Amino acid sequence: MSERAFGRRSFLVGTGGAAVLLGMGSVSGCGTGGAARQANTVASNAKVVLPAYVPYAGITPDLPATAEGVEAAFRHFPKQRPKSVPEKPGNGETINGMSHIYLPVPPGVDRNSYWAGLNDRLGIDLKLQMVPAADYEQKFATTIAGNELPDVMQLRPVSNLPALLDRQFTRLDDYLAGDAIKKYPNLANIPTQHWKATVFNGGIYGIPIPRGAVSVYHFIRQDLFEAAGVSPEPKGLTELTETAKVLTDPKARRWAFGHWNGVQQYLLMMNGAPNGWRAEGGRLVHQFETEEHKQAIADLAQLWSAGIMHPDAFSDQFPAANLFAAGTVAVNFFDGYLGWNTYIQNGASNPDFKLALMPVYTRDGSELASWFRGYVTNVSITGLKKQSDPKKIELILRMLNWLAAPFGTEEYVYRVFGEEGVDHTVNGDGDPTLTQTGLTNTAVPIRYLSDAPAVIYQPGRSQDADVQHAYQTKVLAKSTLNPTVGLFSNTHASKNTAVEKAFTNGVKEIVQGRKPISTLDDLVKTWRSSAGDAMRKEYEGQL
Amino acid sequence: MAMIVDNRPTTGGTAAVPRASRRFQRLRQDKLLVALGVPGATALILFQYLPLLGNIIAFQDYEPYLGIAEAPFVGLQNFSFLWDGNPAFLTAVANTLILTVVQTIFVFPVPLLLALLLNSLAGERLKRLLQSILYLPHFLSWVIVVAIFQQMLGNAGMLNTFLVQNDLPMIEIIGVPELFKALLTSQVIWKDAGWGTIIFLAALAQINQEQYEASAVDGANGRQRLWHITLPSLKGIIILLLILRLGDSLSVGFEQIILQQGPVGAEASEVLDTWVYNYGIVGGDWGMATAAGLVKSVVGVLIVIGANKLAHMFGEQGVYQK
Amino acid sequence: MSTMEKSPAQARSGKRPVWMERPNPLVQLAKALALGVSVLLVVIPFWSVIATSLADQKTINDSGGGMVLWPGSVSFDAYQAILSGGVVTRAVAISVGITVVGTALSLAATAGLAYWLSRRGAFGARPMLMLVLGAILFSPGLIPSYLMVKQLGLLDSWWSLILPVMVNAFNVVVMRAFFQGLPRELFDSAAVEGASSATTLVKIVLPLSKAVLAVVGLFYAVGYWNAFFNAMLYIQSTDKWPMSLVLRTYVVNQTTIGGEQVGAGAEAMPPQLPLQMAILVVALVPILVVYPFLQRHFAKGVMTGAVKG
Repeated sequence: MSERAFGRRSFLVGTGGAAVLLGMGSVSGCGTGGAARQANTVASNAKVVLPAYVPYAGITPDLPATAEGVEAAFRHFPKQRPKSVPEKPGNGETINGMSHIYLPVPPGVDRNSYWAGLNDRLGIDLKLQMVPAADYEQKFATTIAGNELPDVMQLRPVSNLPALLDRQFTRLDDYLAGDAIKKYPNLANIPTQHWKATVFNGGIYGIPIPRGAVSVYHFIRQDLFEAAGVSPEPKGLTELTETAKVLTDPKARRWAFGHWNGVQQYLLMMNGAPNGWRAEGGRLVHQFETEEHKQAIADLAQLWSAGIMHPDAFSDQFPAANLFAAGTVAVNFFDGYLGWNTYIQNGASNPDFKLALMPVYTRDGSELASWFRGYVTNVSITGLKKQSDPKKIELILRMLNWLAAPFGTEEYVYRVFGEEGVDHTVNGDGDPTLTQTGLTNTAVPIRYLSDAPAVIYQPGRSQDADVQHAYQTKVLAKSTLNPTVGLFSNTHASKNTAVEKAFTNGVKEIVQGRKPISTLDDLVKTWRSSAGDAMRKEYEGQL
Repeated sequence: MAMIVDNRPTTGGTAAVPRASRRFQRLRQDKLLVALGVPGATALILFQYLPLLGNIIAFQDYEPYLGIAEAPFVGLQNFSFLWDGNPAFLTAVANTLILTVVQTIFVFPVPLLLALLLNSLAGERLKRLLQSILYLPHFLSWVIVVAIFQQMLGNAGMLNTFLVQNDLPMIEIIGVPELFKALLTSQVIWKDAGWGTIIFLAALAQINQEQYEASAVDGANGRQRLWHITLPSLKGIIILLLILRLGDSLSVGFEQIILQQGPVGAEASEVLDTWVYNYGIVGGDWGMATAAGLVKSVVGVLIVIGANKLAHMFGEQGVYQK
Repeated sequence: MSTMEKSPAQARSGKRPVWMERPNPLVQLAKALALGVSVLLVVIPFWSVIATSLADQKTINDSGGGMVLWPGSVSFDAYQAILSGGVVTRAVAISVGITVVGTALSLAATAGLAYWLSRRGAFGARPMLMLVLGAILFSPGLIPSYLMVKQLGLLDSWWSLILPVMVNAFNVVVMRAFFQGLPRELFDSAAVEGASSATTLVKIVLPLSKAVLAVVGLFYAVGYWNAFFNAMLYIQSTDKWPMSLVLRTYVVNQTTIGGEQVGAGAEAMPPQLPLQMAILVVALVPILVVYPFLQRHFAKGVMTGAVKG
């Protein structure tokens, strides 16, 4: 029901949509309803010492991570699996947690050897409340209202979040700021930019669940491109349109493009529109207000009228994954990067199936377009309830440290793949694969309490590591960052979803030819007066 | 002995007895009857009425972490949508009213007609089989119903695939703003018409069959029996359901609509509930969302009182007696 | 109560009563057509649901990624995936328990309340009726309801799934209307014979109200069976989740999230669409099993002969 889930659905809402969800951050807007006792101001937040970044060096990837944000890649699972946490975090204590779950709910701890084993390794009786991702909003609100907070929980970017944090959650500076985090080396392995989003009220209030600089991919069915004899790297709008026309055959139920928003985001990149906001001499300009955006919408309307998009592309229930697997659409733009996994599985029954990724060129095709870097910065942040005993906070942090064990470590293997022979099997190259049991058991959603930075790795498909690494390297050569990432705007948290939905509805009517492109100006005007200008002001104060 | 007499005068007792003691006497008389109702009444009061006190947040700037005790009062600010002339709100109200009228006219009678049709079948077994098929769609969630309609009638659905493959023009049904209300209405009929027959079938089962027999002996034909026996017997329950439906006029299929707003836009699809969801609940504006709920309830009460009065004027019982 | 001239068995036998004239063939045809079309409109999509639940990824792919009308090579992977790990089977047992206990309590409480309200002039009946009607029109908010459940100490207890929804005001009003539709002579004669209100309810009213009891019971049972939202809010340990909430983690989340769900190396996930459809089938089966038993109470002629004597 909720559009404010942290996952992929929210990307589909549109740019700002995801930024609301994911770029939680500091400063401003402790609006109405009781001001935070410690001011959530630019000045106080600027003084915060962010946790030191100490990258984990125990494992050498096949292809290295880069300063631009390309993730480390592994062709096979490392043979050496070093321990990253020497001691059990706990001593039989109980910790209550709460997070959302995207997978079918796993069996309870007494019938789940993986979970029992996890508790054993943690030395902690971890009791987890799991909430279907679509319902987290309501559960969060009632949990807060009932003052029934678990010790550690996934936070939502609700309105007046700073005041809520101030009242009910622990300020973590004493534990994590600067070098203090070195007590928790796996948390110190999370790069600095992800921590910005945890700063409120002049302090650190959470642990980020990081995502990479390339958090979305433009997926294509290379087999269909090859069969049609067209290049999988069309340069510029004209080539893209021509390619799409070749790929489209309505009688055979084949269209080039799927859901409209993916196409929109691709065209926005192509036209060089801002990644959310753009700083122009101390002033912020939103994507919606730019000529590039207008051009992208006009281009999108062209593509729609050319009949190369799936006729139901505007449906909210667009079954993108199914249609992509079936080849009904050849291109699935702007989808979560973990979709790589899903699509490989969906295509497994088709011997011709070949997955690839499409880069974005500028509109005239002369060069690569600038990538929307860090579109999703953090999936969410994890907050710790106020405790009377600082020892309990340390215990929880030790647990989160264990759960953030980096790829390749012994803890990581157990956390993701469980017990060998029960939850997973290992092939000759050392690649683990979950068994049916493992698939059911490991669904415990601990990855939304704490997680290591992502790496590129596809078990049993060593060449995929090279494909993805090369793609990330290519698209990140030139990238645009959203300057508001990590900043908190109360207007954004409370109003943006509705206001942006209204704006997007208007855009859809333009694209479908029901309204002239000139109405876009009115939409922008409404957007500005109902939220845009207020958000701008709140963000600008923090730059 | 507790006397249970239907036509006992409500102003019984002698004038000499004081009111309070008369009431006490009646309670003593009816104590067993009241006791039967107490568990149900308790549940209603505990879980429906006491939480209603929470509606006080309609007058507050409420935040879950503050609680009702600490949230500041803001007067009628949360109700401002009623008079500030927000065009999105007015569109939502207009769409809601249109849909209510359309659905009352086109949806409400369908289960009744279907029930009469089923009832007129001679074969009891066939009747039951048909009925158990027709009520199935009720058990599908709206997500699935919407998906099924898209599969069948979507622009790339079964119907249009057939048309396109045979060089016939496509028929756009889903995603067309002008047809949206018709689409919603047909989905509601598909999903709930069969289910709705149940209550009428139960009412039909209560009709004394001897009446039919007697009238047949008197020479009445099928249509006359329908008009003079069946429909009059159903009249009470029909009016009851209609009044309750009207009381709920301002609610029209929240989930169904929010799932399908995307392709048609707000102008064609926004209704009161989706508007409150989009502009209140999603943004965490509990005060406004609660205020809107209160307004809906009050309007519902007024409609029910009005409709009930109307029913009385026509000599019907309505939901409650005078 | 006295002789039943037409036994229920006879009424159900499917023969046209002797007094009914032969139907007009044209009318018959129109009826058959109307019903036939309605049935097809339901049967085809449902057939498609079942076929898709049995289809494998290849069949789905070949059909363009949507639902299919024929499963191709039949595969039970989707059902296996749902039933593996024992989570769903356990949840089904929980749901059956909640539905049975809840429906029984609901029927008792509703019938009692409706009976009180149906006796015109009974003590307190009118103000209580107004309260019941008010409960239809006013609904408490999410947070106040939660706080009430918490105050009563029902969090994480199955009672939190029953007590708050035990009495549905709409059902009370419907049942009251049916009770009031019973012939007045029955009550008069009961009163003359000196029966108490409880006796009258149990011995006379309820036996003659099987149809409405079946209907309201069905309303409640379906409500308990399908409810997931309260369980999501009130039940903290997943071990106590009812089926509807467990299945929600299969359907809703998976359809909305493509990429985020599978972290690494999961190979054995069955394809999405069959899984979704199989879940529909699993959730429908109990309802299909129970319904015929309730349906027999809708048979014509329940009241026949009840009043005489």
